[in-house]
Amino acid sequence: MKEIALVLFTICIQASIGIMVFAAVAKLLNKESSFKSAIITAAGLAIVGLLASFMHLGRPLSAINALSQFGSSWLSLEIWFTSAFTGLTALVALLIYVKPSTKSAINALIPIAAVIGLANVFVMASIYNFTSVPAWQHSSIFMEFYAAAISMGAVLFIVLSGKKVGNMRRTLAFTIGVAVILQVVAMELYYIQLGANESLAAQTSFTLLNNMSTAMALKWLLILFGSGLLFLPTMKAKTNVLVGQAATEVAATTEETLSTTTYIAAALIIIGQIIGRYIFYAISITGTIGLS
Amino acid sequence: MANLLDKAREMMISRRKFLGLSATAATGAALLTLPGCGLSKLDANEATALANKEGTWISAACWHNCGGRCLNKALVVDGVVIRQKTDDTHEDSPDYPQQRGCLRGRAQRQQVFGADRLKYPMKRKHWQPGGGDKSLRGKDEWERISWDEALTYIADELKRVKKDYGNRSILHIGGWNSQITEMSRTLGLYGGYTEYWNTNSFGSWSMTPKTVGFWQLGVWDQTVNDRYDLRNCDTIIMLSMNPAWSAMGSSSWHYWQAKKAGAKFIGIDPYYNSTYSSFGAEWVPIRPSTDTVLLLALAYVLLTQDHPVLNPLIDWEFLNKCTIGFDADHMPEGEDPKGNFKDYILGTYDGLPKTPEWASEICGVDKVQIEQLALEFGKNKKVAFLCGMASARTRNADNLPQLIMTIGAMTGHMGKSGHMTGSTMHATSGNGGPALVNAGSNGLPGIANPIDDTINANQIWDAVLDGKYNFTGKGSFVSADQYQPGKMRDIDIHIIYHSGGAILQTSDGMTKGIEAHRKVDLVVSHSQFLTTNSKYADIVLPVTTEWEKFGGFLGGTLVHSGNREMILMYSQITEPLYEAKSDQWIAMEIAKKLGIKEKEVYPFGEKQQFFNALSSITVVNEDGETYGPLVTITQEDIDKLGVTGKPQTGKITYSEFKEKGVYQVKRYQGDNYGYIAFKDFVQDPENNKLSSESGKLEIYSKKLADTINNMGFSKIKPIPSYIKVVGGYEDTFKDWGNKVKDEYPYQVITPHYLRRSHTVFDNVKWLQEAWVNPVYLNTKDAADNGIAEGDTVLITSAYGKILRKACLTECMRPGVIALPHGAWVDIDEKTGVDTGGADNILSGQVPTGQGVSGFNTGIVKIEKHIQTKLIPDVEKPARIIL
Amino acid sequence: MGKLGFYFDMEACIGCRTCQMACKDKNNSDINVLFRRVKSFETGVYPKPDAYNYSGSCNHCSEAKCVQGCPTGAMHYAEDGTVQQNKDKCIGCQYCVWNCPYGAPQYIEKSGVVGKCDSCKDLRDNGENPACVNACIMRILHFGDLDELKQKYGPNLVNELPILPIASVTQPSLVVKPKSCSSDRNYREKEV
Repeated sequence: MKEIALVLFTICIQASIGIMVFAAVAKLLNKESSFKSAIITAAGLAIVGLLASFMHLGRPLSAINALSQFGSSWLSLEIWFTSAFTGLTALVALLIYVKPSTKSAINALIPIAAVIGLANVFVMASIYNFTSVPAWQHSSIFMEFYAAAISMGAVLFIVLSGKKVGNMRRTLAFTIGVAVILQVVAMELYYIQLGANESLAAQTSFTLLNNMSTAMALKWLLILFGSGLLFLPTMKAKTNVLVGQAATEVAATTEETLSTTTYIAAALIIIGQIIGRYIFYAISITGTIGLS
Repeated sequence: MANLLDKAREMMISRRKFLGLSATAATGAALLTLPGCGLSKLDANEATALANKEGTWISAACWHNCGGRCLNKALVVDGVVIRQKTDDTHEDSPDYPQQRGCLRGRAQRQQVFGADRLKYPMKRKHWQPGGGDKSLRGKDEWERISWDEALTYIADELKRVKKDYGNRSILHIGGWNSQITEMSRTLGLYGGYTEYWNTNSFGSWSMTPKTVGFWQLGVWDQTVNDRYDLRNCDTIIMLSMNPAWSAMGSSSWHYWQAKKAGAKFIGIDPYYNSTYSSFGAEWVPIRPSTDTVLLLALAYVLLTQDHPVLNPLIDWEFLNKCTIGFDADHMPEGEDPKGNFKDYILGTYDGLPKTPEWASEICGVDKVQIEQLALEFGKNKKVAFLCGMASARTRNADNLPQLIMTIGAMTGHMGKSGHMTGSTMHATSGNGGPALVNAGSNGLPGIANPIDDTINANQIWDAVLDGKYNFTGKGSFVSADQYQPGKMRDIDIHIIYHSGGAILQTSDGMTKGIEAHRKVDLVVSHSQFLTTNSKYADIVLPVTTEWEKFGGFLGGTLVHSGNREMILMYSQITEPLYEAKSDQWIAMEIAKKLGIKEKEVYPFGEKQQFFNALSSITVVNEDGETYGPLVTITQEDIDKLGVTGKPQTGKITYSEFKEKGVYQVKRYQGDNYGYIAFKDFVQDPENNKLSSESGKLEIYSKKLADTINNMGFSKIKPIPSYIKVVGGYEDTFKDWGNKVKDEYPYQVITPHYLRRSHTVFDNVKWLQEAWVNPVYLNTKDAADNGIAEGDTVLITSAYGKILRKACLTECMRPGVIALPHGAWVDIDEKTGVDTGGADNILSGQVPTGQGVSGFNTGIVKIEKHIQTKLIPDVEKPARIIL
Repeated sequence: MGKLGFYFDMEACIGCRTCQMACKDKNNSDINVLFRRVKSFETGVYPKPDAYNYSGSCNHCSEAKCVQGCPTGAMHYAEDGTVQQNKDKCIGCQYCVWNCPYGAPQYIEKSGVVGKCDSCKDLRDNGENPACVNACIMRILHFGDLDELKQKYGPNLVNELPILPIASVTQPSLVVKPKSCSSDRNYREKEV
C-alpha cells in the first residue's frame, strides 16, 4: 500500500483533533478535570501523524519548503495548521505533565488547539477535493473526515477519560451516532455521484471501489457495530433495533464489563475508520489521459 | 446497512456491465505497479551534470534488420553517451526529408549499454567436449571462461567433428544466409560447412517474380514508382501491408503526402492496422492465406463486367502487348491453349467459375464488397496496387506475386505515372527507383564454401533430428541455383554454429529447433545478449555492437538497406564493452587455432576495409543517369587513416561526411531522379525484355511450375490458381461441407511489431514498456472463449503453447488472431509453455512450393489461462548473466 | 504573442511512439516514468472500426493546477509562460501528481522528487525544438506560439476531446487537430 503514510497521518491527526475537541467541550463542563491521558494521547497521536506525513515525502528533509505557499496551496496551509495544532497540543500535554499548575494557560490552549484542529480537518478535506481525482471531488469527503475525527475522538476520549467523562458519555455516544449516520448518508450520495460520473478515471475508481466491497462492508460493520456497542449500557433497550441480533448476543456477555465493551467499541470504530481511509486512497485514479 | 450494501453491489454489477471494456482495461493498468529497472547507465542527476559539459555529437550506427536506414547520432560527454538525436543536417520538407529514425533507433543506447550485455565468453556448466549432458541446454548454469579456453574448445571440436564425420557435419548458420557472417570465411577455408537457407521475410517473392518477369532493377520490390509519383495516384490499394509498423523512416510520411494530395486508400487485410486507420482506408477484411482466392474473384469480376465503352475496366492493349498466357490467343508455343488464365477464371474447362460467391466462402470477404473492390481497379483510374510480403509468407502462395502482377496487368496499372503494381517494403516502401547513391565495397575477396549441402528452413531441425533432407541446390533465396530439382540426402549434424542472426528464434518450428539443439555435440553462438540462439548454446561468445567498431556505412543498396536517396556513415562511439570482441577478430583467432593463416582469412585489416568501402561509394550526377565517386579524399585523410589508397574528388569531403553522418541526394520537383517502373518495357516490350524466359510478364509460366514442381515440396500450375492451403482456413474445419470446426478453429498471423526489429531490441526495457506485446483478438472471439481484456490467453497449436495477454479489438477479423512476431522465447520448463509469446513456438516445419516459410499460415485454439498470471515483459528481470 | 504550447496532428499520427522514446532518451527516464506518452484508442465495431492515437505530455496550462497546488513553489511559470519545476525546491509530496488532470507530473522513486515535461527548455533556450518534435517521423508534433500554430494549422483545432479532461479546468496550452473518430464518446483504450 503506497499511501500507508498518509493513512497513518490523516487518521492520527484526525483522531487527535477529535480528542482535543471533546477535551475542549469537557473542559467547558468540568474545568477541574485535567483529562491528562486523553490530551497526552492526543499529543502523541499528533506527533506520530506529523512524523508519518514525512514518510510520504520523497525528500522529507526538505519538508520546510512546503511552508512557503500557504496563500495558494491547501497543502501548504495544511502543514501550517497541522504544525500549529501539533505544537499546541504537545505544549498542552507538556504543561499538564510538567507544570499542571498552569491551569488557565492549559484551559485556554485546549480550545484554541481544538479550533485550529477543526479548521485543519476542513483544510485536509480541501486538499483532496482540489485534486483532479474524481473519486475525491465530492463534498462527502468533508463529512467523511469530520465524522472520522468526531467518532474516533469521542470514542478515544471516552476510553481515555474513564469515569471523568461522567454525564458526557451519553452525549458522546450520541455524537458518535450522529457522526456515523451522517457519514453513511454522505457515502450513499458519494456512490451515486461517482457511479454517475462518465469520466474514465471516475469509472475506474468506481470499479475499484466495487471490487473492494468486502473491505467497504467491513468498514461499516466495524464502525456501526462499534458505535452500537457504545449505546449498550445507556440504551440497552434499544440495542436490538440498532445493531441487531449479533450485537445482542455480544451484549449479553459484556453487560457487566462496561469498560471492556467501550474498549472493543473504540477498537472497532478506529479500525473501521482506518479501513475506510485505506479504501479512500486505494481508489484514487487521476485524469482520463494519465501519463502514468 | 445490509440493504445499503446490497444496493451498492447492485449498482456495481449494472455499472460493470455498462463499463465494459474500458473500465476493465483501466483497472488492470491501475492495479499494476511496475518496479524500476536499472538499465540506463546514468540516473537523471548524473546525466544533468554531464549535460552541462561540452559534448560531441557522433554519427552512430543503427544497423538492424528493420529494413530501414536512418541517421542516428549520439552525444558523447567524457566518453559517456548522454542522449541521442536524429537527422537535423538540413531543413526538412516532404520533397527533401530528413532521414529521421524511429523509436527503436532512439532506444539504441539502451541496447548497446544494456545491463544484459554479455560480458565474457561463457560455457554451459555441464557441457564437455562431445556434448556432456545435452538435455540441459537452455536450463544449465553458465560459467565464465577465458577467450583462449573458449576458442580452444571450439577449434578442438571443429577438428574432432571434421575428422570423425567430415565438414558436412558442421551446420553453420549466420542469419538468413550462412555466408553473410565473418565465420563463413574461416569455416570455408577449413573445408566448408552445411548451409541453411530460407525465403525469410520475402515468402514467395523470393523466386516467383524473377521467373515471371515481375522484376525491375534486379530486385522484386522495385516495380513501384518513386515517392513523388505516389502523389499522382487516385487510389492506393494496399494488400497486407503496414508501413506504419514495418517500414520506419519516412515511408509512412511519403504515403501521407499521397493522402494529402487526395488519394483514397483501401486496405485488404485480416487486421485493420495502424496504416489503414491512419490513412482512413476502407477495409476489406480477409482471412489469412486466402488472398489468391480473392484476387481470382477480382479477375472474374473484371472479366465479366468489363465493357469497352460502358465500363472499361481491363486494359486489353496492355495484356496483348506485355503479357503471355492471359487467354488462349496468347499462350506460349507448345502449351495447351486450354491452360490459359481467362478460361480458368471463367471456369470454361473445370466447370468452376471463380465467382465472388465462390471466393467469399473461403476468403470471407462479402461478395458485394468483392465486386465493389474490383471496380476500384478500373483501368481509367490512377491506381497503385501495393502489397507487403506478409501475404506471401504463407503456404502454397507461390503464384501470389504472379497473380498480383496479373491483376495489375489486366487493369494496366504499370509503366505510367500514377499507375503501379507490386510489392514495396522496408525503407523503399512507396519509393521505388534505382539507388541514387551506391554503397562501396570493402574489397575483401569472397571465400567459397566447398560443401554444397544447404538445408531449407522448413527442414533444418528435422534434418538435424532425422538425418535427411530434400536438397534443392545451393545459393540463397535470391539465386536461381537454390531452386533446383530436389534430391533426398542423408546428413549427420554434430555442430551447430550460430555466427550471427537469430535463426532458432526466427525459423519455423522452434520447438523442434530446441530439440535439435539438444541433440548435437556442440552449439556455439556469437551474440551481444543471451538471445535464443545463445540460451540454447554450449559456448557463447560476446561480440561487439557497431557502436564499438571503427566505423562503417549503411544504406546505398536497395534491398534491406535504406532508401535510394542516401547513404550513412557511422563512427565509433565507445570502446568495446567488457571482453566483447568483433566477429572478425573471433573468425581470425579460430582460424589461427585451426592452422589457417591470418592473411588468408583477412588479407587486410578493418581500417583498410573501411577505406575501400568509403572510396568506392558512387553517387548519381544531376543528369540522373551517370554516377561518380561520392567522397573527396585527400592524401592527409589517407595518411591519418593509415591505409593505402589514392586521393579522389567527389561531392563531399571525408571530414564533412563523417561529421554529418549522411549524404543525401537533394530531390526537388522536376529533378532527373524520378522513376516509373516498367516504363521502357511498356513503351517497347520487344526491345526491353524482362527477366522471364519470354521477356514478357508471364501470366502463364511453365518455368515457374516446373521449377517448383521439381523441387518436390508441393505442386502448382503455370497460371495463378486456387490451391488448398496446408494449415489454412479450410483446415480449421473437421467437416468443411457442414462447417463443423476442428480442434484448432482460429487462424493466426504474426505481424511485424514496433517493439523490435524481428527479434532485435526485444530485450530493451524502454521498448517493452512502450509496446506490451499482447495477442490481438477480435472482441467477439474473445467473448466466445470467456476472455476479457487483459486476461492471460493460452494459445495452442499442433506444435506448441504460448501465453500472452489479451488485447481485444474490433480491428481484427473474427476467426483470426494476431501474435506479434519476434518475441524471445521463455519456456517455463515445468509446464513446457512459452511465457515469452514466441511466434515460432506455434509454427511447424511444413515446406511448400519454393521452400517458403509460412509464418502467416497457422491454426490455433485460444483459451483463458487462469493457472498463472503472466508477468508483463517489462517487469521480468533482464537476462543478466555473470 | 500567445502562450507557448504543443500542436499535435492526430490525423496523421501512426502511433509509433518515437516521440515517447525520444522523450525518455532526453530525460533519461526510468521505467514507469513517461513525460510524453502515446496512447491508442479504438472506436466503432467490426467491420467498421476506427482508431486513433494521442501523444500527450505536460500541456503547460494557463491555470495549471500543479502550480496552484504546489506547497513549495517548485512548480512555477517560467518567464516564457511554460510550467517549469525547480527540482531543488520539490519535496516529493506528489500533490501535483494528484492535481494534474492530464497525469503529466510523475513521481520518480529513485530521486524522491517529481518530474515532468519541461518542453525541453534547455534545448529551446539554445534555439532548438523539444526532442519529441524533432523526432516525429510523421512531422506532426510542433511547439511554439499557440496563436501562430492555430493560424498555421487551423481552423478545426481543439484543446479538449472525450479522452481529455475539460479544458476549462486548467486552460491547457495545447492545440490538437482531431481525427473525426476521436469525438466518439464510446472509445476504448487499447494497450497495443
